[in-house]
Amino acid sequence: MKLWSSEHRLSVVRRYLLGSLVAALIPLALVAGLYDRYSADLLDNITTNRFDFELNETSAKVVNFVEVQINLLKNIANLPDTTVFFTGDADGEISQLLEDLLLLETESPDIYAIELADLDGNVLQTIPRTDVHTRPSNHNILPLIFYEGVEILGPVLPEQGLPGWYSMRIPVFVDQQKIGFIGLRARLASLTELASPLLDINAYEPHVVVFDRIHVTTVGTQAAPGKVIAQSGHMIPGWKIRMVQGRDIYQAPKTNIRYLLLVAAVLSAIGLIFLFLQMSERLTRYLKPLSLGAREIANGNFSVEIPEDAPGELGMLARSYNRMRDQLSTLIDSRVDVERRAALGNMAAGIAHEIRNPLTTVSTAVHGLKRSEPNSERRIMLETISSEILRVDQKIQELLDYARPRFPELQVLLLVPMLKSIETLIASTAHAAGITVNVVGDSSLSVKADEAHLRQILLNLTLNALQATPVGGHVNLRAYRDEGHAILIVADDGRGMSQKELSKILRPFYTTREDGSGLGLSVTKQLVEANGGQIEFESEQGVGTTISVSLPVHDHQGERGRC
Amino acid sequence: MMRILYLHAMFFVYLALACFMYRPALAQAVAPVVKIGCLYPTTGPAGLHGRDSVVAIQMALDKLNTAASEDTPQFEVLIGDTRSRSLRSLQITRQFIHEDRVDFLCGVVSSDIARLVALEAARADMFFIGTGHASPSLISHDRNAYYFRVNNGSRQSMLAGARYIKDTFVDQERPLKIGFLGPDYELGYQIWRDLRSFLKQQDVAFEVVGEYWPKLFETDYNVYIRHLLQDEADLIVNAQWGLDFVAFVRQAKQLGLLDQTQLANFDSAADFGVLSFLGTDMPEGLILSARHHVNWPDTPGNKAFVQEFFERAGRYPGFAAEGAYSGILAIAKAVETAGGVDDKQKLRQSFETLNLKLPEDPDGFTSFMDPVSHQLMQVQAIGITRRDTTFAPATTSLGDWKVYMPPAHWPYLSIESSDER
Repeated sequence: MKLWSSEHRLSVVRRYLLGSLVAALIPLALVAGLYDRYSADLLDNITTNRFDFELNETSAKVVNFVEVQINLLKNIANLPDTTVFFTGDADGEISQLLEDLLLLETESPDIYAIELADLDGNVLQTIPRTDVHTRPSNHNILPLIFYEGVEILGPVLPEQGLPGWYSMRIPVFVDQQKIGFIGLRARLASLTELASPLLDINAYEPHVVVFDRIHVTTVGTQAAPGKVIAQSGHMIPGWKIRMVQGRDIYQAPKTNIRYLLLVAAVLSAIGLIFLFLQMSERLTRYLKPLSLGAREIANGNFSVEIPEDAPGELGMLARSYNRMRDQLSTLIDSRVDVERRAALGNMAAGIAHEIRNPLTTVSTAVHGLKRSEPNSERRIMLETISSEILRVDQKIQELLDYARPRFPELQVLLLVPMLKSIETLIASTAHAAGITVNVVGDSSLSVKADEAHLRQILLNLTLNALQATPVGGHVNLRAYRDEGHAILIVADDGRGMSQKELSKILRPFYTTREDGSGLGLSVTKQLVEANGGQIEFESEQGVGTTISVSLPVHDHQGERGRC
Repeated sequence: MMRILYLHAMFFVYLALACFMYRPALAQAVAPVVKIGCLYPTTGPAGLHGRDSVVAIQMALDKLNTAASEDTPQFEVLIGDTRSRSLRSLQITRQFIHEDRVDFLCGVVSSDIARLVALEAARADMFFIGTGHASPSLISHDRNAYYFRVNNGSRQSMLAGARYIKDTFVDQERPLKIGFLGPDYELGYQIWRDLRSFLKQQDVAFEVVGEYWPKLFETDYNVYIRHLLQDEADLIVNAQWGLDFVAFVRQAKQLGLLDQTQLANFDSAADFGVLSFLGTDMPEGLILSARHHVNWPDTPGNKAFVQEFFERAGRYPGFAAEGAYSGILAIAKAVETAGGVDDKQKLRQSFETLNLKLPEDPDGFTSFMDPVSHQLMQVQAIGITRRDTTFAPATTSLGDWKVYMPPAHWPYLSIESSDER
């Protein structure tokens, strides 16, 4: 397929289709780009607003959570039994009331244990008694802050198969003298779980970050630092929440969808281009014969017929073109014929005027001479002169008839009797030439035509057949009905004609005989058409010629028979 | 004041437990009375364990009645509803010891509470027969002379679990990626430590890809499951029990975790109560175990126990039932062997040499007490869940069993000090 051949490049079809293609692709690209940008901006805005609100909300929850634990410590520190524990003679033994109270407090899953420690930090009692969540190996480097009078140590990340935790410690005073410490070991995950509503693990993940060096997930495990999307302010000194980009499996689908949309857009564009080229090629295939046909008509050639199988309006255009070509050809032929007849008429009128009048004088003079001439030989010569003058007059009459045909006077004529009378007329000539004449036909078949015209038509055709048929040949006359038409056939098995001769026989003055005028068949065709009929010729050299005259049949009731 | 309020709030279920060798008219005159104070949660999230235990205790007492002789002591069992609360349990314990003057303490389904009760019992030189809880602390570094446990502990189940992993995942060409999720208290820590130690002992190559500690009685595991999904473990070992496991499985199933990773719980998740609660939500193909199964061993003894329990309670027994049943029978046998409850040394020796044929014992095996750790040594059977409506309302049961016999002695771990031994 030559997409951009010189013949196609600037065709109107291609220009229109290319324009349509551009008109389709530009909006497609614009819409895809704008939609993509709009979606990205919308998502960013929603995410940012949501993060700001939820980070503030979660920070408030964490602060509240820590303050509840601080209040718990302060309440314990202010208990008389606590003071007694540090100042009395209990030798490190805890009162049952205090033990039960502390045990009750540690039933909360957020608290692993409550500790009573001396001023040096040595733990004197742990409730409940447990050896887990004890002083970690990295105790000295753990983050330590003071918040509302409370020492917060940690977080201690999960290690050795144990969960993470942090500790809070508050001094116990008597008379403004520090006598010991009350501390608690708290479950780290209970604090970090407060951020779990922010979790969308595949897109973003909240981390509790302490002094930018300890990162904890919402389930209290160590987190790997990641790309920070947003973060809160400090909840308590050094502690904040960061939104970290997650594994982002949503981003991948989102990116995939974006690429998919782009690929779809490109494929659509390619599809459109292909479709438009196909349409262009197809339209060109149908329009090109029209263009060539128009060019041929412009050159005077009306024989180029174009295919009518194009779809829709193109097919209608092709059919209209062919009809126009036929009508134009007929019109031009008719015009030529009229002009030819006019010229012949003028010429025939001149000839009739200039020749017929002297011939009449000569004929009258010869007739007088013939009467008074006693010499038989001279009388025969005068007879010959008269007959030749008569023949010249007949030729002049034929010329006049061709140039100025008489309008037919239509009447109902039975064809078979007409054929019989023609057979009778030519019988002697045929016998002399050794030719057999046959007449076959439906005796009831009749037409509505001018009798003289029909007789002349049949006579011209049968005489031509006799002249073209050698001795021993046959001339067949036949009449039959064919779908509302009466068909008259004059066929011979004479020498026949070539196609070249056949194409010329209707031209005036064309003849193959030395004594022919060349007007017989022209006049015959003219008479047939004047009576509403058509004439067709078929001939093959060495085989013979068949002439078919079709005339409108006249239906009437009558007997039918064959002769 | 607070203590008084707590005492008033306590709820006791007293079972009249007259177990007479003779006809009642003769027995009333001569039989001594042995009082047992049992602590179980009969209400609250673990209440089914306690209610199952109460039914099983009555079954044990009836069995003792049936076999009673002339001088067999009567057994009176007091049951205190702990509601799974530490302080409440401790105060019930004190009341049993100081006011009701029981001869034995038994029960407790929570390992944390069991440690408190064991400490309080030891202070009073009172035997505490543990049933239902599983942490190895009380039979290793926190053990005392008055504590004995008559159901499989989590260390035994983890030993079996490690063997199961070795048997099942030996074809791994790379270290097995294990994720762990257990309750954030003593039991969870011990289970995870023991499993890792036994895997190392078994030379199983493994890699820990995540370990998580949700609260006990947590109801929302969404955030933990999402982390487990991200870890892409080959095997998730779960150490939860009761309704915690029920909630976890339901949520894990909804979030697709069970489609991605094999889940195993070698300790107690095949408890019949769990199977019943989950119903059709229980997936097929989970690797589970429990301390007693309704369909294993397929022995007349186990079938009779399960059927009798069903006839009494209208439901099938959870593992706590058989533990409580064993506890009463163990106490009765020790008392019988020691000739009463007065000589604690004899009683201790009786417990330390205890051999007891129990419903969970397969043919040819009898549960026996390890004299050092005071842990009853029992078989651990691990199976895979499959559709089975035999024990309605459960729609699954375990099949494709792998049975692990106990070692001859309590398996101490290398991480435990020699003093603990």
